[in-house]
Amino acid sequence: MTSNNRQSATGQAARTCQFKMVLLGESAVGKSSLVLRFVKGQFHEYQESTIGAAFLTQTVSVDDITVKLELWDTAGQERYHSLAPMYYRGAQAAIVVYDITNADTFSRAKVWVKELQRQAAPNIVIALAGNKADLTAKRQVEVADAQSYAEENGLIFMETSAKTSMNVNDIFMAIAKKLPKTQDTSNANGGRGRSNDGQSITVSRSSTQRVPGNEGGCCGGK
Amino acid sequence: MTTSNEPISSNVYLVDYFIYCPLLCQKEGQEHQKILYYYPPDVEFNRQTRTVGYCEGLVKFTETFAFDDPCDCVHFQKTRLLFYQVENDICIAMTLHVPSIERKKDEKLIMEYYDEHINDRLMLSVLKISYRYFALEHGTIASLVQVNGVDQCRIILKKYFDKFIAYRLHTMILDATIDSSYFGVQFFQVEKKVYLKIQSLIRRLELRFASLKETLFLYRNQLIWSGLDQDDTRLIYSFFRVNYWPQLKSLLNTSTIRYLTVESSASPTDALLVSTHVTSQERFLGDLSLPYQIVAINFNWFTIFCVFHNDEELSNMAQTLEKIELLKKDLDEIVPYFEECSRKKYPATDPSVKNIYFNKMNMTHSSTMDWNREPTNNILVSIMNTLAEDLQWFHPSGNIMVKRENDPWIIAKRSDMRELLIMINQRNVNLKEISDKIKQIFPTQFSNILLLE
Amino acid sequence: MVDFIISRKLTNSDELISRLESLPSYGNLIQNTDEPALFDDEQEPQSGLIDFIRRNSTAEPSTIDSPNIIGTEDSIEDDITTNETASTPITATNSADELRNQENDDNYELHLNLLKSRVKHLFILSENGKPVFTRYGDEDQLVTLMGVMQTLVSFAEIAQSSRLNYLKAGPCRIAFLHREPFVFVLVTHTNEHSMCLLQQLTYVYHQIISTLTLSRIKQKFNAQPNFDIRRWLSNAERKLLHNIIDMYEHDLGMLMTSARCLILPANIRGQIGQTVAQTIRGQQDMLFAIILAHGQLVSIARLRNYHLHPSDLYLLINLVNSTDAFKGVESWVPVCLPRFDPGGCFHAHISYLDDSCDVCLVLLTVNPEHFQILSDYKQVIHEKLRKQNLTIQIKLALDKTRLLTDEIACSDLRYFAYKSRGLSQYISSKLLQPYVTNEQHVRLFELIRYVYGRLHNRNHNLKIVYLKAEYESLLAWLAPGFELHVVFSPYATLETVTQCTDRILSYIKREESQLFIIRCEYF
Repeated sequence: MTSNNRQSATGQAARTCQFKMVLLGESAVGKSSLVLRFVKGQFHEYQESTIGAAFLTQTVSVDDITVKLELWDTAGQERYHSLAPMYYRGAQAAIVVYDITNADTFSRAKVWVKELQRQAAPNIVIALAGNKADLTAKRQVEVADAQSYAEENGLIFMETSAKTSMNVNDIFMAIAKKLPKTQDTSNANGGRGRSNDGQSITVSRSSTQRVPGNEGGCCGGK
Repeated sequence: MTTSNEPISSNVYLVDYFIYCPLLCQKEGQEHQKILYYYPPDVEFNRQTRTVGYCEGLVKFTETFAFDDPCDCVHFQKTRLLFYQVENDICIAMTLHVPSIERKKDEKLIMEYYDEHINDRLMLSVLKISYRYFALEHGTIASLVQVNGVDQCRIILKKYFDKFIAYRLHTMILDATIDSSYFGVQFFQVEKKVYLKIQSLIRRLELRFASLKETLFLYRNQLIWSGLDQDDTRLIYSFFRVNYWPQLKSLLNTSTIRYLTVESSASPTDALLVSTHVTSQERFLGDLSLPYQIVAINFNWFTIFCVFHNDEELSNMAQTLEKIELLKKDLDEIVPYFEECSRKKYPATDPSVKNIYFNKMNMTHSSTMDWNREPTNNILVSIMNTLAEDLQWFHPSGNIMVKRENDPWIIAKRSDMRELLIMINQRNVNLKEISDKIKQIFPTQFSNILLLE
Repeated sequence: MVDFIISRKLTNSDELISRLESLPSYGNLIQNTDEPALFDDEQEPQSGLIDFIRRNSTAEPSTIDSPNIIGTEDSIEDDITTNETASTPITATNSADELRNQENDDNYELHLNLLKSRVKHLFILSENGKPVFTRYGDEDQLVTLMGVMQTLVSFAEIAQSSRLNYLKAGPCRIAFLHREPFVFVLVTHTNEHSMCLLQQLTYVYHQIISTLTLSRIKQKFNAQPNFDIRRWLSNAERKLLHNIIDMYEHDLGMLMTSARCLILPANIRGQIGQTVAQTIRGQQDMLFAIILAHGQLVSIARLRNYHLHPSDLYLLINLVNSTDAFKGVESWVPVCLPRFDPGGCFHAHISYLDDSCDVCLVLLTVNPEHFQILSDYKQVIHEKLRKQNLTIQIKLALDKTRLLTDEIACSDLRYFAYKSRGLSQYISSKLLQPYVTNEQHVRLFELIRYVYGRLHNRNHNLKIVYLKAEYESLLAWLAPGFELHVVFSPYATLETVTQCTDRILSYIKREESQLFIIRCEYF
């Protein structure tokens, strides 16, 4: 990971791009572990469930461009489902994670993909991560099945292991590479800006539209 | 907030009282068999069964956690349920209604329940003694069932408890105080000479009757001697105070020997029967609940309980009367001593200090609380009741002192087997004065206990 | 032999109260606050308050999505997650499922023993008897037992129109609390006062409400009466339930419903508070900004007219203390504060102001879309505090383990806790020998709770309780302005007790500005 250095070796000001990325997937598939591995190089065997959502940033270098990823690690608990739109709204990338030792999580992942295709930004880059690839003995989801599904839906696909760090950087890099860097999405003031979540890619819906999350968040509304 | 003297308008009252044994019913659909007695009698069978079933559920649930003690009371919002596991799965329970007041709060009428106005310890002791009185007269339920069968047992229970509840239990509940809850014994201090005289009197009586097992010797309402074990002594003593004493104290004291019998479940004013003929009543004593014949002899202010193994010797009326008449001379001799003792004026007890003392080891109980003056539901009494309950858990000793804003200090102390509750109403008196006062009290109030140890 | 020692004690104790009241320190401590500075522990929760705030604050008319969408969304997701095991793993690995299916009989035996051997049990079940939580063991093994609990509770309600509150078995207690749609059961071997039993059960109820929000739970159960609410509880959230009970046993603040502040010089605290307040001032929808350090309150700023209840604060403290995942990231957490509004929830921005994660900043807003805004505030606050060296000051204060008992200089004094009733805050001295083991700590606090229960017994209106037990003496004093609990060695004389108490009160008066948050910062 290169630091956010505004000067490249050639002395020209390097470009900086900023993207919002969300991690979705069922509870306990390893979303937080992937993020932790990617951002801090750490892994905890008994990682606690995420409460709410965690926000982190990580910067990578892609072809001389500094890409800053704003990562939203969401809680997979089903009761947070109605809050998810708040996170994937305006996101340029998403990783949908499933656990290769649990077929149900794969089915769930497909539902997430469908939802993203329907409701998220139309050109959102979606990656499918089959995590816990180190647990080969307990595999329930075949690579081929996931691969073909990913191809049918235009998703980046990799099996990953946050534990061994296999493919963790790769999947994030793959996404970073695929993200359109034609627009310089960094703001002039260099900060994170005060506009809604920093997106500047056009969204088909008006930005004032309230989604369920706005009405009551975790609450069912009255 | 209530002041210390404001009573709660709705009283504690009995909702139900029942005795059951789960072992009696092995089959489904026959749960009603478990019930040996149920009050009120007009409750339909289904409800009775459900209530008993619920109690069983509560007790069983508690057993899951392997506490040292069984479940003894349950606090509901509106009622209090108390249990006493008598013997081999036979259980007695009673439900009391928690005092309540209807109050207006924010335009609405709501019912407020005063949970703390029922003290579990007091009520549990009422429950226990109610059974023990029954067992005194009829033997234990287990032995009744064994000897007479379940159905007959039910009849006996109904006969006894219907009356007991009607005439006695309600009063016992309302009048329960810390003092009554101890079932301790108030001893009468006698000097050694007199004590020996009484002992020899008793021995001679025992020699005259081969089947005379033990005796209890009382003057007025205090005990001087008992040959029975502690539990039986307490039981008979308490029984005496509840059933004999109220009427005895208003009877004219003659110098002839009279014989007393009691119908304990009758109304208190009708309970005592006095005759000039030797009469005995069957009573059951001891762990094994064995039957005995008890003759209660009354002369002047003395009462002597004679516990006979059987009534064979008593069948010869003339002979028996003769033997007992011999007591008269001996008793006449000691009467003056006792009269003098009664007249003796003890230094006036300090009105600002009230105390209650109980020693579990020798059952000694003494108290200077005047329950006529202190309504049983006032706050200070409630505090004392609560602390008395806490004392059970102060192992092996400890004491607690509490004070309200303008009210006396209340102290509860436990020292191994001894419990002491004190209320001191002293204010703005300097240290030395109090110290002296208290030193005065102790020798007069407590030294008499020492003699008997 | 009747103990004559009591007479000597009485002579001293009788005057105790008048002597205590004549202490110079007493008079100064009666607080008179018009508006409670920080906390209002009398305030009634208002359902719908958050909704109200939200609706009144947004400039644009809120286009409310029809609730049906939410309803169908929920049911869709439920159809998809096929079985419970998939979504609620107890451990991180899936092998937990296999473990549970094995040896069920042995497990049950194990559980029965577990029930007998632990000192305090907590059970949560739904109104229809479904297991939700047990402090020890696995609630799936306790289905029958939970069914029994549910029957016991509902029988009283249905057949007797009464509530089952608690039962006693010797000194042991089993307490029940029915708060729709849950039933809570607490089993304890200690002679706890019914008030404390209820308090513990209520905290657990509030914890679960805080995590899930009451209106949401009710809505779900109305739609699906047989819903297994465990699906909504992750292992991190179950940890919160474990920890709230543990906290109660180790902390007097929860008992006395008052917050504990980090001891800081008043000017430092003032600067911190002003920094925070100035940064946030004027921001719509923001209600509270709290800085915590190791469970102690450093600073709190709030929107005028809105108060935080101390028990809500403890839920936040529990959340922060229990969740390691908050360290090193920014978290956006929906959190319901039951004493504020059980029907709505805040969104909390939770992050740390220092690298070693000792100082935590919690920003509470009613607007779930404002993450970015709050995130920026955090940056600003972080920078400003760093520049003024305030963060360092906080950490220094943390390190400085103030013994407090040392500063009182009384050899028989072992521990004290002082609550300012007007401020709803308390301070306590550090626990020293022999209370340094967990067992002794818990035992001492049980004793303090016993005394507290006596002191606060409804209708008794006691002012002073002095307990002399086997291993210590305790004095508890309830005055109009404060509540004081002091623990002495069992040999302390009443003279020592009085003297010591006077010293404590004087000390508190002197150091007041450091010990408490007296003034509140508004934004």
